[in-house]
Amino acid sequence: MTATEIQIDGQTFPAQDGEYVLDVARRNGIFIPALCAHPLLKPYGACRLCLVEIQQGKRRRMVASCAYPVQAGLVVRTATDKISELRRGIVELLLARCPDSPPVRELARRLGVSESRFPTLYRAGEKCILCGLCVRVCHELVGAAAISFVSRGKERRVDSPFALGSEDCLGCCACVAVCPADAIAVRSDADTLNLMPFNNSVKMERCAKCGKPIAPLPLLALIRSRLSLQEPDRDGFHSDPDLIKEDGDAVERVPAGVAGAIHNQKIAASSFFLAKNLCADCRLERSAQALAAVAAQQRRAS
Amino acid sequence: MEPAPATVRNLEALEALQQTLLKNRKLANATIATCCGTGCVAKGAIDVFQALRQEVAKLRSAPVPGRRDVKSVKTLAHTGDSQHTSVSAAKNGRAPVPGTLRVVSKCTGCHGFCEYGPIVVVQPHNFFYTNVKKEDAPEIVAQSALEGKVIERLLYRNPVTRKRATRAEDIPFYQKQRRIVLSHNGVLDATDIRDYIAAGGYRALGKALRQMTPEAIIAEIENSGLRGRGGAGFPTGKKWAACRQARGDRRYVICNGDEGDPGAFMDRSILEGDPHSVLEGMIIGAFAIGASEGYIYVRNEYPLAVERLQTAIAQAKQYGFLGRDIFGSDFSFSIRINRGGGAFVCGESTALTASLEGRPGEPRMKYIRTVESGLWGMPTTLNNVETWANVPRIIHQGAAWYAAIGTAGSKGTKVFSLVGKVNNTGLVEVPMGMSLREIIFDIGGGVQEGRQFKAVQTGGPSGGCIPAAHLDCPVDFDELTKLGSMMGSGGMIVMDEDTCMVEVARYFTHFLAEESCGKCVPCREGLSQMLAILNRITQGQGQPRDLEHLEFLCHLIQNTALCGLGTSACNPVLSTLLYFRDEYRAHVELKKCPAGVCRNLFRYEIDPQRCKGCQRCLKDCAVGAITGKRKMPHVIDQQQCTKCGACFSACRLDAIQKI
Ligand SMILES: Cc1cc2nc3c(=O)[nH]c(=O)nc-3n(C[C@H](O)[C@H](O)[C@H](O)COP(=O)(O)O)c2cc1C
Ligand code: SF4
Ligand code: SF4
Ligand code: FES
Repeated sequence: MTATEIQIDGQTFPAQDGEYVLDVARRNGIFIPALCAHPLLKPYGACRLCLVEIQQGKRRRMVASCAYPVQAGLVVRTATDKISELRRGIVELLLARCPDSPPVRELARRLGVSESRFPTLYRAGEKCILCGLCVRVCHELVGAAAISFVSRGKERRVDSPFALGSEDCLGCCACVAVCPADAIAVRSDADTLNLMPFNNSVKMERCAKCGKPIAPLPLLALIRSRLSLQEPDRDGFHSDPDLIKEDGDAVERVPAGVAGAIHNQKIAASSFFLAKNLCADCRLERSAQALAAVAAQQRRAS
Repeated sequence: MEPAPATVRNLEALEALQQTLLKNRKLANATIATCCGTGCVAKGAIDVFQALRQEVAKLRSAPVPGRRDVKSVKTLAHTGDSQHTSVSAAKNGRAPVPGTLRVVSKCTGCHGFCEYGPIVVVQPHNFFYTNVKKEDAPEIVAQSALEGKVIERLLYRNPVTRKRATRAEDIPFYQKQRRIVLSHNGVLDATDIRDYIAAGGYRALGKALRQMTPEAIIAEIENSGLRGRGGAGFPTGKKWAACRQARGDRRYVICNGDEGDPGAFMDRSILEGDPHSVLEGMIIGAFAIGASEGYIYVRNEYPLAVERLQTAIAQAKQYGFLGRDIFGSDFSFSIRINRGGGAFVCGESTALTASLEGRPGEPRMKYIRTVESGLWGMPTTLNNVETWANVPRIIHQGAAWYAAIGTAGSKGTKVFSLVGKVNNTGLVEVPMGMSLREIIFDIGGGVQEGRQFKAVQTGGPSGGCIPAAHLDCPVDFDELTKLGSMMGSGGMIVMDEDTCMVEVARYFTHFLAEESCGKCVPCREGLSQMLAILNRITQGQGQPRDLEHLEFLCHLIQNTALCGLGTSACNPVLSTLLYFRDEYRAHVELKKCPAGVCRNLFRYEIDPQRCKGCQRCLKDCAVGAITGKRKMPHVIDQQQCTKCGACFSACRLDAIQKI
C-alpha cells in the first residue's frame, strides 16, 4: 500500500491506496451519512446517502464516497448545498418507506428533515431499508449465501429461495446482528431457531444432560468440521483421546498450562474441553467436577 | 461445386476463395431470396420460403413447361438448413451447359420493411415483392425466376402516387436510407458463411491481422469517430485504447445483444441477418486490445439469433477465422454465447458482467472502469451489436470514408426501429445528421391516417419526447441530448395528435419503475413515488403541488441513482413537462385530458345539432348507455358510460365529441 493525500472540505488528509473516500472521512471525524457501508464488507453503493462532490481538474461530479477509491490529489466536498438537498431528498424517500424506523428517523433528524412530503407506498410497519448488509454478511463473511434479494423495483426484498426457508442457513444470526433496522426477528423454541421473515428454520443442538437448546446444529457442525473434530457420542463426549495432541488443532485452542496439566493427570480431556453439546449450566457443573478431580489427584500426589 | 470448408491462412487464399464463390453465385440464373426476419416470419415467411423451395425442387425433376430447350433444371439450395445440392453441369466452376438453369432459393435477414412482409426478392432482376403468400410461390418461380417477368400485383404500391415500384430503390422508404450495417440484410443467407465471404466478408479481418498492428487498428477506429451504439455514445476507439493499456493477465471482449428496449429490434435483425459481421468485428477488436476470449450476451427472447450465431461460430471455426492461429497469425480467439437474464437492467454493462459471472444481474458502481476491471476483474471491452458490426466496414473501407458520413460529433450511420403512428414502420438506417422530419415523413411516410404529428420519443423507454417544433433536429448524439432526449440504442416512437403526453410519461415511468432493479434508494423509491403521482394525475386526482414534486424527484433521481437506468429514467417526464406542460396542467387543474385518453378526464357527448338519430351508436353501445328515438337526437347517460369509445367510432356524422 502506498500513502497519498486527499483533500476533504479544504483540509488535507493522509490516505492509503485501496481506501475509499468514506474511510478517510470517517477516520478524521468528518460526518458523511451512510446506511449501507460496513468496514468488513465490499462497497455496495445502494443508499446513496454518502454522496459527495469530487473535482478532478475542472470536472466536478457526484459520487458515492463509500465506493470511490482514493487517488492522489483528489478534491472532495462533503457538504455543499446541493449535497444537503439531495441527501434530504433521499432521507425523505426512506422515511416514506419506513416512517417508524429508528435509524431512519435519527438520520432524518440529523439532516434536518422532520417529515417526508411523500406518502408510504408499502404495508404499514415496514422496517427493512434494503441496505443489503444482511445479504452481504451472509455471502461475503459467513459464506453461507442463505439469503438474497428477490424481485425487482418496489417489490425488492430479502428472502430465502422461494421464501421457503434456506437449507444453507447456519443459524449464526450474523444477519440479525448486522441489521441496522432491527428488521430480522429471531424466534426460538425448544427444537428450532427461526429467522423471520426469511422462514429460515434451523434445528438446535440440545444439552446432552438437561435437554435445553444450546446452539444451532449446522453452526456447531461447521465449527467441528473447521476444527476437524468428530461428532460427540451419545452422551455428549468426544471419546477419542488422540484428539488432544500438542500439535493438533484442538490443543492450540486449549491454554498451554491447562493442556499440560491434563496430559500429566491423564484426565479424559476431551470430555473436559470439547463436549460441545452441553448447555452453559451443565458445562459449568462438569468443569467444576473435573477441576475438583484434578485438585483431588494433585492433593493425593503431593 | 462449392469448395469444401478449409482453413484460410492468408489474404491471397481468402481472395481466391471469394472469387470462386462469386463465380459460383454468378452461375445462378435466378436467386429467390425470402426474408426470414422476425416481422416477415410472424406474417408467414417460413411457409413462403418452404413453398418456394418446393417449387424450385420440382424443377429438378420436371422439365419447365414451354421451355423445351431446357433439358434439366438444377437447384442450388442455399437453404435455412444450409444443404447444398450442387450441379453436375457446373462442376468446378465451368459455365453451365446451355439449356441448364440454376435457381437458388435462400432465406435472408430482415429488410426492415416489415410492414409489407413477407418480402421476396428475385435476382438478378431485383424484383421486390411485398406481402407474398405461399400460394404465390409457383408464379414467382415460373414467371420471375425462369422468365424474368415481373408480377405486378406483388409489387409495392405507393399509397400517395398509386404507382408500383419494381425495385427496393424505387420505394421512398429506402430512397433516403444509407445502408452500411444493414447492407447484408435481405441479401445474404445468414446461415451460410460462403455468402458472407463472397460479399467480401472476413477481408477486414485478414487486413487487420496480417497488415495492421493493434495500435494501428485502434487508431483507425478512433479516427473513424465511431461512437458506441448501445446508448451512451462513448467513443469506441478510446474505449479500446484504455482497455489495451489496462493491466491484467487476461482480457475479454463482450458483445451486448441484450436489447431490452420494448419494440426495438435493431440488434436482433443484425444478429439474425448478418451474424458474421458481428463476429468479424469482435475478432478484430479482440486482436486490437489483446483479448483471447469473447462473449456474446443475447437476450433470452432471441432463440433464432442464438441459433444463427452458433451456426456462424461453427462455420467461422471451419475456415480458421476463430480458434487457434487465426489467418495464419499467432493470434487465437474464441467466442461463447450466453443467454440473457431477461431483465431490462441486464443490458447495463456492470449488470451484464455480473450476469455473465453467474451472479444476479444488478448494476454496481463503475468508479473503476470496466476497461480496467470488468469480467472476472480483468480488462474488458463491452460494445453493442451494432457497434461491433460497424468495425469490419471501417477497417475495410478506412476511417476517412467512415468519418465523411455524419455530423461533426456523430459519425457514420445509425439504425432506428421506427414504430408507432407512422405509415412505414420498420428498421431504417440513416446517416447521422439526417433530421427527424426526414426520417418520419420521407422514410416513414408520415403519420398514419393523415393525423397531426405530436411528438417522437427517441432512445427507448428512458428517452425524451421531442415535439413538432424540433422536428428539424438532426439525429446526433449531442443534439438529441440537448433536447432532453437521447440517441439510446435507436428506438423511435412516433405519436399523433390523439396521444396524451401525460399518459405517455406515466406509461414509461411504469415500465422503468418495474424494471428498476431496486438496489438503490432514489431509483427504487423515487420512481415508485413518481409513478404514484402520475397515476393520480391521469386518474383525475392530481394535486396542486404534484408537478413541483415530480420535478424535485426527477432532479433527485438524475443526480443520485447508481446506474444509467435511474439517471436516465426521468427523461420521459422531464421532456413532457418541458414541452407539454399545458397538458399536465389541464389534467391537474381542470381535470381534463385534452387528448381524450385518460378515461376519468373526459366524457363523450352527442351534439344534438349534428345527431340525426340514425341509431348506429345506440346499437354499438355494449352497456346500453345511449337512448333516443329514431330521427331524434340521442343522449349518453354518463353514469352508465364506460368510455369504451364504440359510439365514437360508430358515428358517421362526427356528432359524438370527447369533452
Ligand atoms: C438500463 C440500461 C440498459 C441498457 N441496455 C443495453 C442494451 O440492451 N444493449 C446495449 O448494447 N447497451 C445497453 N446499455 C448500455 C450499456 O450499458 C453499455 O453502455 C453499452 O453496451 C456499451 O456499448 P457501446 O459503447 O458499443 O454502446 C444499457 C444501459 C443501461 C443503463
Ligand atoms: S434486513 Fe436489515 S440488514 Fe437486511 S437489508 Fe433489510 S435493513 Fe438491511
Ligand atoms: S439506478 Fe435503478 S436500476 Fe440502477 S442500481 Fe439503482 S435501483 Fe438498480
Ligand atoms: S453508504 Fe455509500 S451508498 Fe450507502
